[in-house]
Amino acid sequence: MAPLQKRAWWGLGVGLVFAVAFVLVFILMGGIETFDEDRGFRIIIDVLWVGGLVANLVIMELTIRKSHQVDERDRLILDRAPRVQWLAVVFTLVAWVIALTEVYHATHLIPSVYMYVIFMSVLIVSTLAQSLGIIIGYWRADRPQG
Amino acid sequence: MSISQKTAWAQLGIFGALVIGWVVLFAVEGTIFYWQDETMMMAFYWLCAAAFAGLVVMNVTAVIVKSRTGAITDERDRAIFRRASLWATGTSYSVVVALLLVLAIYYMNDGSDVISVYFPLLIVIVGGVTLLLTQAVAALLLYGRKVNHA
Repeated sequence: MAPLQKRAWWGLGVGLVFAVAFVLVFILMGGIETFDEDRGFRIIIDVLWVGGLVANLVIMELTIRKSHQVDERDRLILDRAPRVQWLAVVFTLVAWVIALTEVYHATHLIPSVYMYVIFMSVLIVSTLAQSLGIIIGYWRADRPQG
Repeated sequence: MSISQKTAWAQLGIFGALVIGWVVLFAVEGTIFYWQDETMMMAFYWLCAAAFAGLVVMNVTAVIVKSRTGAITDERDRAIFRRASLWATGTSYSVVVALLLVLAIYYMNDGSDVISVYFPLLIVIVGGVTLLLTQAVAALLLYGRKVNHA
C-alpha cells in the first residue's frame, strides 16, 4: 500500500471519529436551540470540528511534504481528489437546502445560527471527502483493466 | 481551435451572460434578495434554468459534432481540462465556504435570530456558476499559455 493511500485511510478513520463525535455531542447536548444559547456547548463543538480538520491536515501533510514518498501516480490521484470533495460539498449543501426547506416550510425563515452549522458541516465533509477521493483514486488505478 | 476550446468559449459565454443577467436583475429590483418578490424570484430561476439548459445543449452539440466530423480531443486537451477543473473546484469551494462564513458572522453579529431559507440555495447556485465560469476561464488561459509556448 502506497504511503499516501495509507495516510488517506488514517485520515478517513480519524476524521470519521471526530465527525461522529461532533454529531453525537450536537444531538445529545440539545441541538440547534442550545447551541445558540450555551457558550460551553459551542466551544466543545468548535474543538471537535477544528480538531478533526487539524488532525487530518497533519496526517496528510506528513506524507505530501516528504516528496520521496509521493510519485507521479500519487500526484495524479491527489489532483483528482478535489472532484470528490466538490461533489461531496454540493450534495451536503443540497441536503441542507432540502431539509431546511421542508422543516421551515411554513415560515421560510431559519435560525441564523444554521449558517455556522452548515459552514462546519461543509468543512468536515470536505475533509472526509479528500481522504475518500484519494482512496477511490487508488482503487480505480489498481482495478484490473477490462 | 479545438472542439474543447470552442466548448470552453461557449461555457464562458453562457455563464457570463447569466452573471450579467443577474446583475441587471438585481440592479433593476434594487436588491439581491430575489425571494422577496415573486416576479423577481421567477426571473432569477428562469435565468438559471436557461443557463443550465444552455450547458446541456452545448455538451450534446459537442458530442454530435465530434461524432459527425471525427474531431478528437487529444491528451493535451484532457490535461488542460484536468488542470482547469482543479482550479475551478478550488475556487468554487473557497467561494462557498467564504460565503457561508461571512453570512454566519454577519447575521450572528447583527443579532438577527432568523434568515431566509433561500440563502443556502443561493450559495449552492453561486458555487455551481463559479465552478463553471472558473473552469471555462482557466481552460482558455491554459490554451493561450500552451499556444504561446508552442
